[in-house]
Amino acid sequence: MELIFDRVTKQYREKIAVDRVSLSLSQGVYGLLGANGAGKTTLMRMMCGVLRPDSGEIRYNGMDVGEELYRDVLGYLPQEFGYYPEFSAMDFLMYLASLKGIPRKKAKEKSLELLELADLSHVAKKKIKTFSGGMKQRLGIAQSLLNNPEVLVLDEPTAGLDPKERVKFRNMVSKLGNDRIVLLSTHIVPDVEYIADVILLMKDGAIIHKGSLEEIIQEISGKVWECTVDSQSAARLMGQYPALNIRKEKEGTSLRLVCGQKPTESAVQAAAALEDLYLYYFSETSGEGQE
Amino acid sequence: MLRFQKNQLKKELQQLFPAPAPQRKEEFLRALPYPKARRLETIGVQIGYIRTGTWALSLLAVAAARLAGQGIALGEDSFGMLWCLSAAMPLLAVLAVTETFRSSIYGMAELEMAAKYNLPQVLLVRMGALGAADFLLMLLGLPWVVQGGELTAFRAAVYLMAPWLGTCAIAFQIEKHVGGRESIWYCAAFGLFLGGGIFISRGRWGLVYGDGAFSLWLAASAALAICLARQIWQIRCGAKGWKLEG
Repeated sequence: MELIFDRVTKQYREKIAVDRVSLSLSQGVYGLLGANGAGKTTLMRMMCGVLRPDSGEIRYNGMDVGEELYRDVLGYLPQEFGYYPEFSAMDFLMYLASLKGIPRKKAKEKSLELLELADLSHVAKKKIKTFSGGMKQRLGIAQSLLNNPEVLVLDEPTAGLDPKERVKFRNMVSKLGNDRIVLLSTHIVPDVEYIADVILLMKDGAIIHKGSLEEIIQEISGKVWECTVDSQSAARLMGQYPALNIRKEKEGTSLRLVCGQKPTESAVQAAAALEDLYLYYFSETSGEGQE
Repeated sequence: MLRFQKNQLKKELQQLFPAPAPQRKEEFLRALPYPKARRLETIGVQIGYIRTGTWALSLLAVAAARLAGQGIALGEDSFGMLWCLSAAMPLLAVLAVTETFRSSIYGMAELEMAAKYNLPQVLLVRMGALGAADFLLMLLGLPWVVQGGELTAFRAAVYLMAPWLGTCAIAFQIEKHVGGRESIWYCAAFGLFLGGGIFISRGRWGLVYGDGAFSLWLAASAALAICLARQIWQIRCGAKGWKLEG
């Protein structure tokens, strides 16, 4: 089971959305982390055959991702999706099951099972237009699992889910990664932190880091500092370095910063977390922070 | 006696060494590959998902044109009936095209593009079914047009197909370049424009449907048919430029 990206590029007019990305993905859960406009959705769309790369190839077990055989083993949750207005939750799953080539009887069984998993059994016959954002998202996740996919691509799957639903989702995805390739993109760093076997950091269309949590955190190991300063110093420091946490206390303003050297005399080093790394790379002041 | 002993031995062995209870049986059964739905079955299912309203409105449009043709006391006049029916053809085309492209109108296109039987195939099925239905409706209308004896069936068919083909060709381009919900309005506007144009040609039948103009109608129909076929082929091949994802 191997999905290979070979110098994949996609350009929109002057903007290079994906810049010569080369990757090899095998069984497991991959978390794709990046700021807005980094190219995550474009990369995922190309992976699912929705967009064609301008150059390069994406192959799964040797076959091009544009082929029907690949789509037969693909499950995809787009960042945004709609529904036909007359559809209920059950109708939606049955319709997509028919497009995935699932026979009607099997489709009904699978749809009921997935509605149960997504905690939507009680609203199976209700129109989707009556659903909340979280319910629609759970329905979207359910449809991606209809054909028991070998490759599962989830673009911002936890958007609109409350914390309890996110935990449930994380547990579900962790189990799914055992025997398939799962790629999920998110802005919610803890979602990736807890479930991804491998984290991919994407910036300006390129994958800048790939590795386990421990491996990529090494990049900012020793660069996370905590200090409590007066408000004037706090403003200065926040202007210079990416600030992860700001808290007003009696003694002053407590800051958690990412920077190459000790920012103040009173600063103490803190253990780096993935969110610190995200800020280090994707904050507006990250240029100064990386010195 | 020997057989009895064997059976007795089997029973005792089963009691002494019971087989373990099945574990994760459901999971195993769920993971078993199953025969997939055949393409023909999927085509049938897709046709079933075409909205009843679209079929009903198409039938209604032809029925209303037929009644209008009779009701305006044009009676057995071929040109009068032709005029009414050809004014309805752009509406049939708009209904067919907007139904075909409703994936992008309702934001389902991206999900459908990633499916085994993906969006271009879905579009082809819808186009095929709706196009065939409109062709049948046109054929049903033909006897009323030719009963007056002024027109042959072939000529009447060309006069009816041309506005349908023209509306389809333009509507496809609207879907290609505009996409989404806005495209419905543009397609409807063009359909009304063409239908209206045909409507105001009343009284100029000699000019519009005269012998001298027939070759132009034939050439236009052929060109539009080729244009439409080319667009359908581009969709089939998933060509660049089609805003299928909305």
